[in-house]
Amino acid sequence: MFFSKSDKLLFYSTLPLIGGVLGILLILSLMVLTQSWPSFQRFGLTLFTTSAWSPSDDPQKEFYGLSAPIISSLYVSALSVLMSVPVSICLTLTMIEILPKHLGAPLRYVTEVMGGLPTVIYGLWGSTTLAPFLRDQVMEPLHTYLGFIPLFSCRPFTGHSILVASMTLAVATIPYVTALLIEGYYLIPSKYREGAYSLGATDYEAYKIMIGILKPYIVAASLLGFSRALGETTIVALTVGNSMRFSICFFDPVHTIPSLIANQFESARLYEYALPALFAGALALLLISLVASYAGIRLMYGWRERIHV
Amino acid sequence: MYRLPDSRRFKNRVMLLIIIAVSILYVTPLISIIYTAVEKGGTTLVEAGLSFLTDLPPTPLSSGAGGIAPALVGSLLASILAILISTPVAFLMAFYVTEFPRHSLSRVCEVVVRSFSGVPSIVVSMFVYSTVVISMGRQSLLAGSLSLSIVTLPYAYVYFTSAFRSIPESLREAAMSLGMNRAGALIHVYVGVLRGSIVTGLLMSYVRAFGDTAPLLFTMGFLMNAVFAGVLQQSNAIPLNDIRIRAITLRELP
Repeated sequence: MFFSKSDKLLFYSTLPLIGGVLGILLILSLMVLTQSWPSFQRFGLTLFTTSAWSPSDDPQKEFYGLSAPIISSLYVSALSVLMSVPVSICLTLTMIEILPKHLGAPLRYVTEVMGGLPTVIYGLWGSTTLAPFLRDQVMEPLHTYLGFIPLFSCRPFTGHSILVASMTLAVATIPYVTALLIEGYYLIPSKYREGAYSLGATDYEAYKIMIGILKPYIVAASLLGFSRALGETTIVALTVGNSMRFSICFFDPVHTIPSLIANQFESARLYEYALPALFAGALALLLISLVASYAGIRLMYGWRERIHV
Repeated sequence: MYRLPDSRRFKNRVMLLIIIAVSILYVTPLISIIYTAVEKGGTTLVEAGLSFLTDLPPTPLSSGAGGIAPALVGSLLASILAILISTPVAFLMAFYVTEFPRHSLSRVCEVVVRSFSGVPSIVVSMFVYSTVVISMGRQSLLAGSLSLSIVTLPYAYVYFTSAFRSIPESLREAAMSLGMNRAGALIHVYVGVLRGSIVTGLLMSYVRAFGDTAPLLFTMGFLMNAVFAGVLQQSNAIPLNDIRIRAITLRELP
C-alpha cells in the first residue's frame, strides 16, 4: 500500500486533518445526545409516544411529546419519495434512451439547474403558487367527490398541507435522485440491452429489463432521497402548515421535526425543557437519516460491485 | 419478415408516450417558478432599480422599497468563507481516501463522511449554535459560515472523490514510474488533470452554500441597519429575511 517512506509520512501527516473532521462529526452527534439528555430524564419514553407542545414558565407544568412530528416527518418524506422516484425513472429513460442526444442534453441541463436552485425558492413557490393552485384545482374536488376515503376526508383550509409539502419536496429532490439514477444507468453493461433487443424486445420491454437490473440502485437512490427529504427544513417549514398534531389526511397541516425546530427554537430558550425536547427531536431525525443514508450507500456499493463481474 | 403483434406495438407506443409526457411535465415547475418570481418580484425590482441591491432594507417609517444589501453581502461573504474552509479539507480527504483505499482509516472516513451528507442541516445549525454561538456570546457571520462549511463538506468530498477516481490509471502509473511519490503526483499531475473538476467542485459547493437556509437559521443573527458589521458580528442572508417573516406570520395555524 505504501510505496515509500515519504508516502507513509504523507499519510500519517494527515491524521490530524482526517481525525479533526471525523472528530467534529462525532462531537456533533454526542452534542445532540447530551443536549437532549435532560428531556429524557424528565419525560422518559413518553417524549416519543405522546404528542404535545405546551411550554410553561413553571418547569413542573412543561410537557412535550414528539410522536406526531416524528411520524409526520416520515410520512411527508415517504410521500415525496413515492412521487419523485417514478418521475426520476421516466426522466432518466427519456434523457438517455428516448430523446436524441441534442434534445436529451438540454433536458439534463434543466434538471441540473433545478437541482441547484436555493431551497427557499422552492419553499416560496410552494407556499405562494402551488398551495392555492392545488387547493382550488385538486383538493376541493377530491374532498367533495371522494371525501369518504380517509386520505381525502378533511377540508382543505389554507392549502398548506402534507400534500403541498411532499409535492414541493418531490420537485426539489427529483434532480438529486435523477442524477443518481443516471450515474447507475450508465454502469449497466450494454450486453443486457443488446441481449434484450436481439430477442426481439420492443423499446419499452428493453427499458423494463434495464430498470429491472437497476432495481437495487433505485431502492438505494430512494433511501438517499428519503434522507434528503427528511432533513429538508426551509421547504417544509414554508409549506407544511405548522400544526402540532398527526393526521393521515393529505390536506391537513402538520409539523415535521425540522419545521418544529425552525419555528420553536428561538422561543425555546425561555423554557427549561423546551430546548432539550427539540434536541431530542433532532436526535431522532439524525439517527433515522444516518441509518437511511448508510443503508442507501451500502446498497449502492454492493450493486456496483455485483454488476461489474 | 416477422411483424410484431399489434398489442405489443400499441403498448410500446403508449408507454413511451407516458414516459416522455411525465418527463416534460417535470419542466413545468421550473417555468412556474420563474413566472412566479418575475410576477411577484419584477415590479419591485423595476421600481427600485439598481439601488435594490445596494440599499438598506426599509424601516417601518420609510415609504420606498428599500434594498437587500445587508442580506446580499452577508450571503456572499458567508458562503465564500464556508467554501474556503470546506473545499480544501474535502479535496485533501478525497485525495487520501482514493490514494490509500485499503487503509482502515480511509474506509471509516469514506463511510462516515458519506453518511453525513444526509445529516439534516438544521441539526448542524443547532450544533453550531450550542457550541460556537453560546461560547462567543452572540450570533455571527463566522458561526454561520462554520455551519455552512460543515454542511458543504460532504458534498465537496463526494464530488472530489469521484473526480479522483476518474483519473486514468495510466497517468497514475506514469507518474509513479517517473519516481514521484504521491505528494509529487498530486502536485504535478493530478491537479493539472483535475483543474476543471476543481473549479466545478468549488462552484457547486458555493451554490450549495449560497442557497442553503437552515444552517444559518440560528447562527447568522440579524442585521438591518448596516451592510457589514464585521466577521464576528451579526449578519444577514437573503433566504433568512423571508423565512423569519414567514415563520412569524405562519407560526400558529389552527
